[in-house]
Formats: sequence, C-alpha cells, structure tokens
Amino acid sequence: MFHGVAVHAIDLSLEGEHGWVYRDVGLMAEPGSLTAVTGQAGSGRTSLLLTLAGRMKPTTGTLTVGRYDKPRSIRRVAALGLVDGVNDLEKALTVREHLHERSPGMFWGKRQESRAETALALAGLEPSPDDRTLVRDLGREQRVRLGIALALLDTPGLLVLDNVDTGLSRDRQEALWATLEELCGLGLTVIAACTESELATAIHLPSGTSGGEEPETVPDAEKPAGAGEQDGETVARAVPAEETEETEEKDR
Amino acid sequence: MRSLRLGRLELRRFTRSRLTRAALAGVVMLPLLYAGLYLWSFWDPQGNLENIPVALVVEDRPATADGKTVDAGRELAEELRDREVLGWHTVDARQAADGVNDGSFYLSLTIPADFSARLASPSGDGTPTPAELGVQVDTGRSYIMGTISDAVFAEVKDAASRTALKDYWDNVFVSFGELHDATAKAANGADELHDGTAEAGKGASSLNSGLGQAKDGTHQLAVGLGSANTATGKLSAGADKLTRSLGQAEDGSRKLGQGLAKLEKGAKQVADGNAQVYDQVHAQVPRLNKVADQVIPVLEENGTRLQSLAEAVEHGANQIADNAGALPGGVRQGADQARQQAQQLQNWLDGNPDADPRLRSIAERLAQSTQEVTAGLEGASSGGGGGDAAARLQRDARRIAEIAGRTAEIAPTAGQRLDQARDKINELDKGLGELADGSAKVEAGLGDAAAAGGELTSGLGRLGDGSAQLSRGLSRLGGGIVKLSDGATRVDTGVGRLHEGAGELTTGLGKLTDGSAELSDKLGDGARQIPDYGKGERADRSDMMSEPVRLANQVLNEVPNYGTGFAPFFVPLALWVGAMVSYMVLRPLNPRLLAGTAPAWRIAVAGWLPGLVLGAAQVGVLMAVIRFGLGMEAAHWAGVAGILLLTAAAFLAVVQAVNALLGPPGRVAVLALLMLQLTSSAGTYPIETSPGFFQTISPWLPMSWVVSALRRLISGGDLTVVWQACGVLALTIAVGLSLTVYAVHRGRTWSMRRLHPELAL
Repeated sequence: MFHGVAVHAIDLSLEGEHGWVYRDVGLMAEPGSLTAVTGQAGSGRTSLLLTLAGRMKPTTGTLTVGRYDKPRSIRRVAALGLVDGVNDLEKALTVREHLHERSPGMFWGKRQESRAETALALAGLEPSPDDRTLVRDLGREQRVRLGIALALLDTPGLLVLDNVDTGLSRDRQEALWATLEELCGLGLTVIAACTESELATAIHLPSGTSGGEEPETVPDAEKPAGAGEQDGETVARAVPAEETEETEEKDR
Repeated sequence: MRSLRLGRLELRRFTRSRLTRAALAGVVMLPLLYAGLYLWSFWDPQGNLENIPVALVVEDRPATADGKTVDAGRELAEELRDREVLGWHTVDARQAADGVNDGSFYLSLTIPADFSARLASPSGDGTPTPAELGVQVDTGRSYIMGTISDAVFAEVKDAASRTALKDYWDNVFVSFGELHDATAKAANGADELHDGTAEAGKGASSLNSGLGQAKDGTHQLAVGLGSANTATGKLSAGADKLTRSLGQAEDGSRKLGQGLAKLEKGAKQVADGNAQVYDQVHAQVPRLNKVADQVIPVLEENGTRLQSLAEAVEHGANQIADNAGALPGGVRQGADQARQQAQQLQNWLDGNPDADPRLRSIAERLAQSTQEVTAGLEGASSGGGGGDAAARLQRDARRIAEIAGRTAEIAPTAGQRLDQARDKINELDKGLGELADGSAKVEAGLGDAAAAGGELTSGLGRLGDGSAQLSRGLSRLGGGIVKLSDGATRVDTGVGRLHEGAGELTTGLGKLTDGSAELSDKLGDGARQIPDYGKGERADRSDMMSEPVRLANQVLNEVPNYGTGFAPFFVPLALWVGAMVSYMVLRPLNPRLLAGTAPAWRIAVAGWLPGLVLGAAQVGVLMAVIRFGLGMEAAHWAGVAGILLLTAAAFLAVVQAVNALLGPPGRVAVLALLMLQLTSSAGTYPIETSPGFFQTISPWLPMSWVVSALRRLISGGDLTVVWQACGVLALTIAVGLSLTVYAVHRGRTWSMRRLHPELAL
C-alpha cells in the first residue's frame, strides 16, 4: 500500500533569529515506523517536523529521507498531515472540497473519488468523498484525520503531522495514535508531534531554548512545564510497528 | 482544469457566510467606488460651473464716442449672465470683496467705471487706453478656480475684444474711405497748384528779366547822378567864379564909366583942339603950298619960324597922345570874359532845357548885358578909333609930335625938306581932317559909351545878383543831387537784391512746379492705393480684423467632458486598487497546496484565477456603471472591455506575485507600485511635464500603456498603442505568473519568520 521511507537525521539544528529553535536532533526512523516528537509548545516541534518533511532547511546536520537528502526531493515523498499554521484547513470549505483541492489529476473522476475514499478510510473517517460537511463543523480529531487523509492522497512515503494530542481527550488521542500505527502497518513512515507520548520511539525536544518557537495558542494547550534538558542530544530510533490483521483486512 | 477547480474552491471559501460574501462583493465594488465615485463626482465640472457663486461688479458708466453711446460694461454683464457659464451675482464692490474674503464667492469680476470710456478711447481724442477687467480669484479656496477663471475670462476678454475691435476696425475702414476721397481731392488740388506754380514761374522769370532791365536803368541813373553831381559841382564853382568876375566887371565897368567920362572931356578938348588945329592947318595948307612954293626958297631963309610952329604941333600932338591912351584895356577884357561866360551858361542852359527858368532868364539877361557891354565897348573902340584907332591916334600923335620935334629940329633945315614936309603936311591935313572927324566920333562914341557904361554897370550889378542867386541855387541843386545820388545808389542796390531775389524766386518756383507735379502724381497714386471699401466689404474686413487669427480647431478624437478625459486614468487605477484589495482577501497562494505536492505553476494559476474572477467582476461592474450610469461614450466598447480584462489580469498577476514573494509586507510594495504608476502613467498631464524620473520609469510600468490604450479606445484614433498595450499586458501577466511560480518554489519551504510572522498586516 505505502512505500515507506527511512528517515535519517544526524545532528539537525535550526537557528532562528532569536537563537536555536532545536539543536542536535538525531533520528533513525525505519520505513513503516511511527515516531513521536514530544515537547512543550514552543520547543521547536513544528519546525523539526517541517524540516523532516523537507519544508524547512536545517542550519546544520544531515537529513536523508529515503534516497533523498535535499528538501526539494524530500518533499516528493514526505507529506504533511495537519500542521497548524502551515496547512490549516479552510473552515469555510467542505470535506469534499478539501479532497477536490488536494486530489492530483486534471479532473475529478472515478479514480480520484476512489482514491479519496481510500484515503478517508485510512484516516479513519467516513469514506464519503461527497461529504459536504464544512470543516468548521468538524471536531479537532476529524480535522486531524482529514489532514491525514489529504496527505495520503499524494501517496507519500513519509507522513508528518503536528499536534496529534492537542485538544483531544485521552481516548481520542489513543484512537488517533491507533490510526497512525495502522498507517505504519501499511508501510508508511509516520512522524507525529505531540506534547507527551508513551511511544518508545520518541524525540523529546527540550523547551525553553532561547529563540524557540513562539508559544502556540492551541485550544486546551497545556502550560509548558519547567525547563528540560538544555544541551542533551535528542536521539530517537523508530522501528516499524507490526502489521495488524485489521489493516490487512481493510486492504482487501 | 484543475487550476480552475482550485480557483473556484478558493472563491468558494467566501461564499459560505454572509460576511465573506459581503467581503467579496466589497472587493468587486471597490474599484467602482474608487473610479466610479471619482468620475461621477467630476464627470462634467465645466458643465456645472453655473453653480459656482461668483461676484459681478458693474461700475461701468456709458461713454460717448462719435456720437454713439458705448455701454460696453452693461452689455458685457448681460452677455455673461445670458451665457450662465458661472453663477453670477451682481453685487457692489464692497460685497464682492467681502464675499471673496469669506469664501461665499469664488471670484469676483469687476467691470471698472472707465471700461466703456477706454473701449471708446481709440475713436476719440487723447491717448487710447486698453480697457481692463478686474478679476479677483481666491485660489487658496480652490486652486482649480484659478485655471477655470483664466479660461472663462480668456473667453470673456476675447468676446469683449472682438466686439470692440470690430467697431474700431469698422471706423478704421470708414476712415480709409474718407482718406481715399480726401487724398483724391488733395491730388486734384496739387494738380491745380502745379498749374498755378507753373504760371507763377513764368511771371517770376519775366519779373526777373524786368528787374534786370530796371537794374541796368538804376545803375545808369546812379552813374548819371554821379556825373551830374560833379557837373553841378563844376557849375557851382563856375557860377561862384562868375559872381566874383561879375563883381570885378562891375567895378571895372564903374571905373570905365568914370574913365569914359574923363575921356569924353578929354576927347572933347581933343576934338576941339583937333578941329582948331585942322581949321588952322587946313586954312594954312593952300597958303602953305603956295607959300611952300614960294617959301621953300624962303624957308631956307625962314627956318626959325617953322621951327617954332613944329614945336607947337609937337606940343598939341603930345596932348592928343596923352588923352588917347586914357581908355582902359581891362574893361574890354572883363566884358569879353563876361560875355563868353554868359554865352557858356546860355549854351549849357540850352543843352539842359529842364534848368531853372529863373536861372535861364537871369542867364539871358546876363548874356544880353554882356553883349551890350561888349558891343558898347566895340562901339567905343571903333567910335573913338576904339582901342586901335585911339592907339593909332596916339601913335600918330606921337609921331606927329616926334616929327614936329624933328621938324623943329630940322626946321632950320626945313627948306631943304619942305618939299617933303609939304607932302607930309598935306597928309597931315588929311589926317587932321580925319582926326577931327574921328575925335568928334570918339567924343560922340564916348558919350554913348558912357551911357552904355552906366547901363553896363547896372546890368553887371543885376547880373552879379542873378549870379549869386544862381550860385546859391546851384549849391542847393548840388545838395539835392547828392541826396538824389545816394538814393539812386540805394535804389540800385535794392533793385540788385530784388533782382537776385527774383532769380532765386524763379528757380524756387521751378522746383516748386516740379515738386507740385510730383506731389500731384504721388497723391494720385496714394489715392489709388488707399482702399475704399463698401459696406459689405467693410463688415467682412472688420470681422476678420477683429479676430485676425482664428484656430481652425480640428479636434481629433474629441473628449466631451472631464470625466471621459479622466476615465482612462481612473479606471486602471481602480483596477490596481481592486487587485490590491482582491489579494488582501484572497491568498496569493494556497498554503495547503504549497505544503502539498501540486506543481508550482498550478499553484500559481490556482492563486491567480480567483483574483481574475473578481477582477472580471470589477471590470464588468465598473464598465456598466460608467457606461450606463455616467453615460460615457466610447469608440470601441469591446476593445475597452478587452483591455480592461487584460489589465485586471495583469495587475492581479503582479499583485499576486509581489504578495507571494514578499508575504504580508508585499501589500506595502504593491501600494508603492500603485504610487509609482499613478505618477508616471500620464493620466492627468502629459508625461513630458513630469520630472525625468517619472519619464524614465513610465514605459516600464504597465499602467502607462493601459492609459494610452484606453484613451484611444474611448476617444478613437490610431489603435497601434492598444496592441502594444496588449503585448505589454501579456508580458506583465507572464512575468507576474513566473514570479509567482518562483514564489511557489520558495514558498514550499517555510522559514521561521513565515511560520511565526513578526509583522501582521
């Protein structure tokens, strides 16, 4: 289903105008693995995600995504799920319109429709491409899932998404993570950012670094904790999750 | 297709709520507000000038010129009110000034008190003075009012000038006619003058020759008077001498008278003696002869007695001789001279018949007297043996005396010579006889002479008086002649001058003749050259001269009003503002697409197309309102629509590109571009009037081309620039989209700043 790609990041650092956004991040994600990037708001999670997806250039360090090491080529295999402030959904548009917007190809035909259905299903939404629900009527979870679905329309090798757990109850978070794990099971490499994660492969970004991201105003965002490690090297090693039967059934 | 879909979706965002729909409508309407309101507001300001309150102050008083009343001020005021170009309020000077000051009037026009008088001044006497109209404009209140008033009053001034000039030129041409007639008359007069001067020339030349002759005469007169003067001088001197001589002659004549008296006495004695002697001698002679014959022999014997006789004879002869010499010779000489001078005077008087008759009578009497005197003297000399006879007598007497002496001496020896003596005595006897006769005659003559001498003396006295009068008269004559001579000399000089003057007069008259002939010719030519227009011709000419230069104002592609003139500028301007506002509402690039994997051009076009839809709507609304609301006329509506759509597309592409490249600060850049195009697109004044900077950037900015193209499409004319503008706009679209594509490539990577903008616009 998906041709996941490996992500190798060595000593990635990004310096903003007001100091380091993140420093010395190392990541080894196998294809089809799920990696969590944790950290308080303003700890540089979004920037790191964008960097890993080829949407931001690191100041130092090397990044290899699959066979690619240049942001421009990385972008071809890496798709962005919902990243707040980068590809926010349009509240005034419907689900269907978002699908239409992101579907590749000249026309909206059967092929596009089936592809959209698949994507919606994989993202854990009602597989109805004609869904005329406005995004503003969707909950946070659905929006995240729609973001995943829209990203899947590009059939990426790497899915990157931000704020997986923001404004969601614990069970909803878990459902989301489950969806992500399912995708990993389908061979897709997933890197998701959240405040906290119990995943074994998690990159924790220390907050409070000078010149980090501005604190995001996210609904129900928790207050950032106290200062974490200042200079600790953040290394995450992600291994692919086991394929579940459910997903195999779904594939059929 | 996909891009279309994407563009539609971009717009779809705004159709979900009333507010966003209103925003879209606002975006569509904004250019209309911008350009439509402006054009509506200033659609035809010139056509609505009658609403502008302006003051009209008429202080002019009618003036009279050539018997016509000129009331130009009132006529001008009526004309202005009739035309209703501005909203005229007739007020007095005070109200006008106050109104201009407090802003209730935009300007005031004052027709001054002497307006008509000055207009009429070329017809009358005195210095012609141009008429003045006083205009007061408060450009501080409205700058454009200055320009408007200039235009309005230029027309007012022209109209007033035309009327004034027309009258003036009409008079001028009338004067030309009069001048023509008068010059023709003058030419005739000069002709007559020429004839007259020609005759005068002839007269002057004959005057000149006459004066020449007169001059000769006066010259001769002067010369003659000169010689007359010398002659009278001589005459006067002669008369003086004559007077003196006559005095002497009178003295001489008196003495002559006395002498003659003595002589008479003597001559009487002599005559008596002579008679006695003769008687004795004669009585003795025969006896003597006989005696002698007897005596001779006797003599020789009687010589002594003879001797005593001879001695007695000698004694008597001596007495005779003494008495005979008593008549003076001076008398005869004086008388002679007097006679000759009297004769001369008479001769001269005969030669000058004009001489004083008294002088003549005196001279005649003088001549007679002198002749008488002379004749008397001659009578006296011939009568008494006259001078010669007396002298002979004397000589004979002497000789007798001598002979008698010698006889006495020789008497003793007389006998011897008695023979001879006897002969001699015979002769003596005869002689004595003659002597006795002679002395008797002398005596008688002397008596006459004495009487004549008396007369002569009194004659000479009279003659002396006459001569003295003559002398006085002559000296008076001399004085008169001198004066006459001086006068004659002066007359001569005067006549000489007169002659010269007459010569000059002749030459002058000759020149005058030539000159008057020329004058006559020239005046004739002049009269022919001076135009003499009839009434119709005059009207035509006055009409032309009152406005000698007229603009054959061939307006190509006429613009009927201000709004139409400025639409080409404001419509693209509005479209640019519209594009700006469009991309304030629309996102130049869809961020979801940027984050996705869609091709860059598609993203660019997807961002451009919704703008294009809005732009088209803006163009449609704007054109509809301008066309149907404001009623603008255009030569090529389709072309206008086309170029406006193309313009909107190009502007949107540019605005999108700038926004995509620069993000939110791009709005400022777009505004800056608006300002640059606003100032360099030659929308109001020709670009040549702007500083070099604007002239330089003008061709590089699309709006200048759009403005030029729209002018052509609205007003008509050569459409080359329209196609050029299409090319420029197409190029602009290409450049804009290319820049947007580039922006897409750049926008696929986020920067920290983009993620967290520090500046939100």
